[in-house]
Amino acid sequence: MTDTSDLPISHLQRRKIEGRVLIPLVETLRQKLGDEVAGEILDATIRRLAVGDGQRWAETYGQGMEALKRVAEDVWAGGGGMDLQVKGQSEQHLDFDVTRCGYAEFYQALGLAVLGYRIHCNRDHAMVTGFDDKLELSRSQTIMQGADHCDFRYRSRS
Amino acid sequence: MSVLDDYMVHPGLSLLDKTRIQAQVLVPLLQALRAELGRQRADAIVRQALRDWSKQVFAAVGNGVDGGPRRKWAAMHTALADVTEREVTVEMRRHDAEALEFDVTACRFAEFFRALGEPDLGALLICETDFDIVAAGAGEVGLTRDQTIMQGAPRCTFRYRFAPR
Repeated sequence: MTDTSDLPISHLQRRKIEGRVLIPLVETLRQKLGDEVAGEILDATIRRLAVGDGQRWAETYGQGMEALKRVAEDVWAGGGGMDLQVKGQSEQHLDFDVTRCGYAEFYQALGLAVLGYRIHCNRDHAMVTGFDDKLELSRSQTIMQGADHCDFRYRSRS
Repeated sequence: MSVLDDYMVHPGLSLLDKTRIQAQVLVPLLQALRAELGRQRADAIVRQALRDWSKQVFAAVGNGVDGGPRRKWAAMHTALADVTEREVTVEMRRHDAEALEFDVTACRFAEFFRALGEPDLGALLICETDFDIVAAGAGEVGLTRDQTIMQGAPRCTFRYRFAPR
């Protein structure tokens, strides 16, 4: 598929453009196929795309915690997409909180936070496996789900 | 400001680039649906979903334009031409009070979707839009288009007819 990573728009704008057409399509899929089947197909597709994003970002930024932090700061938060605070970092770990999230604001404004979690937040675990399979993410809460911040905690398996 | 600003989402982005971004998520989803449901059923569901969505989007844009059907169509047609003309080559054949006739002889939208092997998706995202805009001019503007480059023809044959004023 033709790469569009060179386009001069923020990651948040890109996700909004995708969402314009993805949201009504997913709604039709839920009506036609039921929540369970539609959800499984959507999740599998998002996982596949997220692994591909991770691989592509690793080619651009490299692997490891420092590169991962740059992805979060430059790509996800680029253009004001989100505010994040780094709480701690070493070669073995990266902890940051997201304190404002434009992605969550977009889906919450549409009354679609559950779908937003599925399309957006859910991809972060799969992204890490494509980016650097020695890293893993744990996260106990997200703004999309109603929390006041998201707690991203990355650890190296080694 | 354009009547299509909301549809375009981001004013600095071309329609072709916007559509490429959407195709990046739609094509994998379409492939997953085909694997689960078979090609015919998957394509039918996606077709219905995207047609319904497009009709709603352009009906809403038309409702926001002041004036009668002809004026609504003209405003939307002009705005769409502004964001598509850089991607197509047009041969004008007739333009008067009764008709607007032109052929599109080259189209980057069609090149993109045909290279992806998904011309039907391209037709849903791009070509069908012209009929959704004509719907806003119902009774005063009509369009027949017997063939398109997206479908594999050498040219698209746009033939608009206008009701007498």
